[in-house]
Amino acid sequence: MEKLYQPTDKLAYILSDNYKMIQVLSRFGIALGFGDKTIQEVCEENQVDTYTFLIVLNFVFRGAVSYVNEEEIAELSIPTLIDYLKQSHTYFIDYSLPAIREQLIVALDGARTQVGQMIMHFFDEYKTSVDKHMSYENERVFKFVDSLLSGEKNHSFSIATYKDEHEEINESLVELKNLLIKYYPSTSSNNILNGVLYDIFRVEEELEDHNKVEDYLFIPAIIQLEKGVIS
Amino acid sequence: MSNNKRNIMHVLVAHESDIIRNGLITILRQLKYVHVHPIEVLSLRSIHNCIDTQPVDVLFVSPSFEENFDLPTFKEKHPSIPVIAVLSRLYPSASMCDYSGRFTILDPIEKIADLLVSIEELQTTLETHDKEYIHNGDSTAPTVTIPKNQDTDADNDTLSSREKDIIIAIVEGLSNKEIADKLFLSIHTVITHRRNITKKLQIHSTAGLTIYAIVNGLVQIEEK
Repeated sequence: MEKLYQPTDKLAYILSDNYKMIQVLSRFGIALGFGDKTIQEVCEENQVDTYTFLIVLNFVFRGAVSYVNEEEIAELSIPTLIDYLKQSHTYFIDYSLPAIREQLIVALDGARTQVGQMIMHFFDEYKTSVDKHMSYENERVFKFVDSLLSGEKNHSFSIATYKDEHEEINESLVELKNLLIKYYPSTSSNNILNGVLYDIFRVEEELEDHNKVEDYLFIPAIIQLEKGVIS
Repeated sequence: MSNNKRNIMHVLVAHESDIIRNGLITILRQLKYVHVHPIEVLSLRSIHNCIDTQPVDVLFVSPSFEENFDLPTFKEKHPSIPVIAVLSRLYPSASMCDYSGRFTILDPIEKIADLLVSIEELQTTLETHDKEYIHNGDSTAPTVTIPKNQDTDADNDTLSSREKDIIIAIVEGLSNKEIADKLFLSIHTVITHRRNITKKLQIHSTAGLTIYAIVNGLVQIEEK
């Protein structure tokens, strides 16, 4: 993986380079207002592992397309990574999806028609499946990793059994987009519906990036940890 | 050709040139008919590790990757993964014939799209008809041919009246068996129709089809 950003780069510069990195920052618990400090300085102040921060930052910055090799994975701080993933889950479940839901109701004119209600029902089912998947990760997967980290050897769980259902979950989002784009009889208030669509596309992208962080960084790191603890 | 498949193709990109590799990744993300997740790898070892741990459907590789890409050894290790040669200079054509496909950096982008579409189609056929192929008989990855002017029917996104009947039946909550009985079709035919409906509308779920059916007046809303 090419090292795009270095510990000595100024954090503010990165954000103006690519605004998408704002979400990465906030999920590491780093608030804005850091002046001219470098990545390393800000990470240390916020007690975030600088190396892990940079790997995630560069991975997302590159569009989640880089294979990160085993040596690089081995250096990751797993607690830092888990904090990041938990914060992402909170963002999707408690902020992003509820916000889209509210906008969607407005865009569907209060969802008073039967079609409107059905679309809302469809969205709610989608949201529930995301909820379920992320709570499962929070409660089952992360707890399992915690016990691995504390050196426990006997487990009824293995990271290999944690099959990801990411693509499946994304499918219903695609379907929702299609219903709105191709089949919903829209009225005059197009701006609101367009705005919601825009947000749906964005959250879809964010979810894809998030899933890639899990698939390419988190799971390989846990596989290594598992090997080390159990064998 | 229809853009209905939501299957993501995982394409591994291995090229020693930063510019070509980055260019390929950008192109792969923007292709029209295939949904690609590109993965860049910087070493031969990463190629193998990535294939062992992540889903990978195709390898794009420069024949001079890490001096000289050893195709026979790669094929022995990963017989089911088609390997496409990415050519940025002249190579002896004899050394090219074992690749599943190839393109040069001067080729039009459509060539890449065509290669991927035909690999995807080939893999779908293999999956549905003959899974043994890869594991038993011939262990070489199949050579890719570029499809021409096919798929005219699936191109058409309008539903046939038969397909509409089936949607109505699905919305009514009937099972495949019940639909087959009602419309005097075989279950196999019903399944084929359902697959075509999904392809045309990009809607899989009953809830989604219900919304489609109501909006398009296929069924009337019963007020309760």
